[in-house]
Amino acid sequence: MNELDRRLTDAGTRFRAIPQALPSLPDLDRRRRRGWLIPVAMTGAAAVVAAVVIPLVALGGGDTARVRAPVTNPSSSHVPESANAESYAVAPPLLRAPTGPVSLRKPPCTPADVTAKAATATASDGVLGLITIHGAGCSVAVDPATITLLDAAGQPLDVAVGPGNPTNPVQAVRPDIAQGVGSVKVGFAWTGAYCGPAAASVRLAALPGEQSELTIPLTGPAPRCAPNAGSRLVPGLVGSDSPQVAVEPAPVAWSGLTASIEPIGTVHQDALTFTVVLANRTATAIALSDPCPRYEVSASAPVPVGTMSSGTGGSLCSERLVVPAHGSIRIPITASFTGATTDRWRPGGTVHLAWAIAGVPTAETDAIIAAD
Amino acid sequence: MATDRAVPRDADEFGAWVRPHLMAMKHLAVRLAPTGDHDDIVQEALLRAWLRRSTFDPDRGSVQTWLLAIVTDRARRIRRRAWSVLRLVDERNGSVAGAQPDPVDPALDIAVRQLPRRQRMVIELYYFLGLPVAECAAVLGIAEGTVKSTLSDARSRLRALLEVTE
Repeated sequence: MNELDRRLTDAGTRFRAIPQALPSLPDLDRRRRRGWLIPVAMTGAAAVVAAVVIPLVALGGGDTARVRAPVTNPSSSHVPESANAESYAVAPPLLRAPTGPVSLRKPPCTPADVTAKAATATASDGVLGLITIHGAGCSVAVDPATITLLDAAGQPLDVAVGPGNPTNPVQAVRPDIAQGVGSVKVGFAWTGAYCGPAAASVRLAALPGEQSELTIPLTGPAPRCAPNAGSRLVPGLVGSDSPQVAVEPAPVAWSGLTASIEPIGTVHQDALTFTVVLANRTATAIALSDPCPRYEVSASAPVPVGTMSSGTGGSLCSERLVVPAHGSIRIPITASFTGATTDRWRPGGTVHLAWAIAGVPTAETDAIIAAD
Repeated sequence: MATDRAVPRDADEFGAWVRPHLMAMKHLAVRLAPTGDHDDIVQEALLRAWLRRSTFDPDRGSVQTWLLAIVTDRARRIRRRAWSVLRLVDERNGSVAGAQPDPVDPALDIAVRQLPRRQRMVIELYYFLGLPVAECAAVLGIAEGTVKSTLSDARSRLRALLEVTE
């Protein structure tokens, strides 16, 4: 065996050893009965039907009985996680429309099917919350707008619910799939200062059908107490827990940032390299940690036939970045294509690049495609 | 219990039929769509397999090779239909950012992706899925001899890309 063969064999062996979640099977019986085996081109119509039908089912009974879900992690063993962890990352805006098959929907979860946990982590402005819900072989229907913090007596805390940073808002990647397979996480931010009773649990609409609400014990810190200061609960997104996607809303402070891409002369399609500049327009340093952002990148350029748009995402969670007051930081990005070699950009054409994090306007630029 | 020779009649039989091969399908989808579309690819492949299960011919290959051929086709169609994938390389620590774990050999990974399609596919199936030559041939619908010669061509190309001299 020569060196290359050894290298390939070793890479293959190690790749197969990486733990992967076993794919779930589509619910074929239900799809067949309901006529859901439809061409991909009709998925838009399917989504419209689901949007109409599901709320009717959820609201039909009018029963708001409180259900306490089993807790997978006892609160006594809970260790607060850093809000700079990937699990608490701020979701990016989407630069490309999510694609894929019609969502997979399993039978509706009942309270007995569900395990759930909720925890907070200290953030730069208050705390971030993360709710994880798993349905055993069933679908959930989580609505982040219904998140309510409760005290030990089950009474709602005096915390207003409001919007977060309105600029380039966070978006979820195929929440219908996460809900359909019953493995979701939901984010929220509890910003500002708070001096009232401790939050003991969180309540939200999470299940299809009549008993839609779950009340889940909440562990972790609350925002600091400061007199005459208010606090606000900002709902985040529903996302998948496996694989994990970002679900937290963007901090309001990030609206003081602008993003740009440094001018690029020409780009080579085998190694697309560019630098993002984040500038702080304010007199206060702005941290991109606690929480940290995930970002999206897209590139669109002519190919021999038509235009090809490509994209992916990454995170800035490995470093605790701070943009100084009236200053800026530079973030180098390098990308390479995993697409087929026939999908080559047309030399001499223009590639349009975009980079985005939530809470900050998208950075965009054009560059000329080099003749490699 | 379903076997390779018994085409499943209902969803339960279909589940038993494909379940032993789900991880191989996932592995191939991850290799062909490393930044996140792999779950969609597997689900589309399973739906396709369910719809076309009557066309399965055990004389032409195993259930696994049939399913992997569908995954290959779905992966190609998804990429052509929508987006190719940009992979981010974090220059600060040399790792590749994305939803999947870092590749075990990033330079090799990038070189494999630069191969012509057929060469890449034989490398993916033979080395990364660990299939024997005969099963690679069945998945790709080509002769075993063609798999061997394509593997040889792919290795030559990889040596050039990786500047490996032997």
